[in-house]
Amino acid sequence: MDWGSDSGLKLRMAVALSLVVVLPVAFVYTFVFAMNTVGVALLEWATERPWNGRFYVKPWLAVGGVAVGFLAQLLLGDRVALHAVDARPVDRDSHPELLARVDRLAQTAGTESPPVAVSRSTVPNAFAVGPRPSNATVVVTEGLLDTLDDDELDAVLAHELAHVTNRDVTVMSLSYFLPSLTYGMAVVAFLILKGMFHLVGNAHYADDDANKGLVVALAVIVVSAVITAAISVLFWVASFLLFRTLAQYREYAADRGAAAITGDPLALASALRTVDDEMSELPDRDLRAVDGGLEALYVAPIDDYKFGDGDRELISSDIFPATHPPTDERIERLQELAGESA
Amino acid sequence: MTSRRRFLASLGALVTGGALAGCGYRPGGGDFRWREESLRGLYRSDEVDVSGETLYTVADEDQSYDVEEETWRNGGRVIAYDTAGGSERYREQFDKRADVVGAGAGDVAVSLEHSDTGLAGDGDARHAVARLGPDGKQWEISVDDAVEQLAVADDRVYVVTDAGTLLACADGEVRWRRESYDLGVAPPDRRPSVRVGAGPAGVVLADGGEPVRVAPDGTERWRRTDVSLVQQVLEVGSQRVVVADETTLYALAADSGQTRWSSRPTGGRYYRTSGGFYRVLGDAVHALDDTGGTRWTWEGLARETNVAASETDVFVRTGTGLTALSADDGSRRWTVEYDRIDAGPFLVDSGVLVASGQTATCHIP
Repeated sequence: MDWGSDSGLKLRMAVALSLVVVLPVAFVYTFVFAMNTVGVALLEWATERPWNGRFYVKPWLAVGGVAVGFLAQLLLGDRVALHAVDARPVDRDSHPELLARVDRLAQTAGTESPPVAVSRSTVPNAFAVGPRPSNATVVVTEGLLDTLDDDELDAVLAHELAHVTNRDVTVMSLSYFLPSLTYGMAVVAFLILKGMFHLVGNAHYADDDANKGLVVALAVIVVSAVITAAISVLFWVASFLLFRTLAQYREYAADRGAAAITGDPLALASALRTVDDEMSELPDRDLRAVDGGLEALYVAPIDDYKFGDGDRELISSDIFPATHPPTDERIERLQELAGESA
Repeated sequence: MTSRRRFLASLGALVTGGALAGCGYRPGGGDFRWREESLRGLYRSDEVDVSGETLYTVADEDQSYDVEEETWRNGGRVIAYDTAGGSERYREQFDKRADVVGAGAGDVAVSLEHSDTGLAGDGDARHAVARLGPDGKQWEISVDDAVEQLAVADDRVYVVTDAGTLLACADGEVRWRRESYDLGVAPPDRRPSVRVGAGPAGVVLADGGEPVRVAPDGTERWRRTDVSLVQQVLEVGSQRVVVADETTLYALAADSGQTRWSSRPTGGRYYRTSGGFYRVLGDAVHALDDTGGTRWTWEGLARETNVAASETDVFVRTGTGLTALSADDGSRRWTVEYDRIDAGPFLVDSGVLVASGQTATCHIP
């Protein structure tokens, strides 16, 4: 089934995907640049010897390393996601009606029926994982099964099938590689810095030579950690911005796909409203504790950026888009789609 | 180990090896190849020279305890170090004072003199010459008079004594001798002049300032009476002999002594390197071309410097340390700071070598 293409969206996607590939390589060479400027000066100071050479990473290694990272993200991402939400695969004995729905919708969409897993979460939501459409898994929560009526559930499942058919899971897995990497490196750098301050506080000072050696070692580690953290944060912001922008593009496309499969855009609009209302009534726990990359896969947003009770936003959504477009806007578009098809 | 584990281990090793080959640190000019501190041979050494791939340090007087003889020995001392890594090859302690030193063909020759204490017993010669190579002392031979200059080439050590005798020594024997040469007295205000040079064409010496070539068989081949006041014998090749006097650099035909070319770059001290001839005057180094003309000049040398050069690089001591220049145009390539450099730079296979205090450092060119 073809639910229409958006040439503007395709162009934006092409640019964004190019950046997804280029940014990790740029991240590697930014580190190399830092090593050849600040790093070399630091080494000269610490070792009292010349460092006139250059640190290098050969392009084939940078590209190969990024490729391996992408591959790992693709191969392991679905297992991590399923484990994170405690989702178990279900069969026709335990959930015959659910699987029959998926079969029917997949047949309508002209695709293979994917395996289905159910999460024990009471938060109503759904997502799809898997590196390729042929081995994707659609995940729904028990909360979703309890909350939605038949048409709404069809619409949500169709939305996830559209994600599978559009290869959104693959795209989002790839685009989450750099945010994962930079986040991990920034955290490690922060922990090292924290450890250094504890070490300084608890150090028992010996003779001058030992103190000098300690100061040099601390300075090298602290400066290295600060630079690592700075570069990682810089690239985390850039890659996460890209990731979320991509996610928004994909949601609109999946909404259109769901409407085409079910022929009922308003059912998805109704499901989105229901899920959104239910989500806002539940406490900040459960799915919100899930890895940040997964949230982009849900049918409805689980993040709201807000600290505490006030209106302060963690990161302004004006410059840092959410993983999903505003639900009201999605509903509005679906209503327009229903008007067009009527 | 199962075949699957073995496969995964091999794959892991391959990936790790490949990754390591694809990244790292590519050393640049001036980086350390190796550094050895507290080298005994650099302590109070009068002469430090490199020949072949060996760093020789010669102290005129040193004392060591001979375990086998159970006695203290006083005299000159030679310690040889491997320039590939700075490890000590051997040390040789003499009973006589070491005096004149000559290096060449990977070896070093030293003259040995009994100090005037009357300790030299009957049959114990007052003057001697020893040749040492990378593996130790090769031979030692007595000579009648005090040695004034030494030159080493192939298996020969050419000795000029203060009595004006030229000796050709090999394998601990005197092969021939010629009398009545006068090297003159080196001016006291400059570094010792090298007025004897040796090579495949035999030996060339400045007899009264006039260049004279003596063939390896001991026959005098030519003498240039129109060239006077030769201070340096720079090259004794099979085709060409190069000498310099106070003002002029001469390239002479090895077989006839006829002038091939000469240039008047107005004095200074000359250095023959594997990358060509260089002249140092004041704080400037001048690169010379194949006919003695100046290709380029670079200013900023330390008061005392050696010049080591390959076909691509020139290494000199400057006020701030060791500096590498481009052999093409004299542009500065890099400088490594030193408080002081006591010997070098010397060009060796592994890099460029300098000694500072008791530390020897080999830099990547």
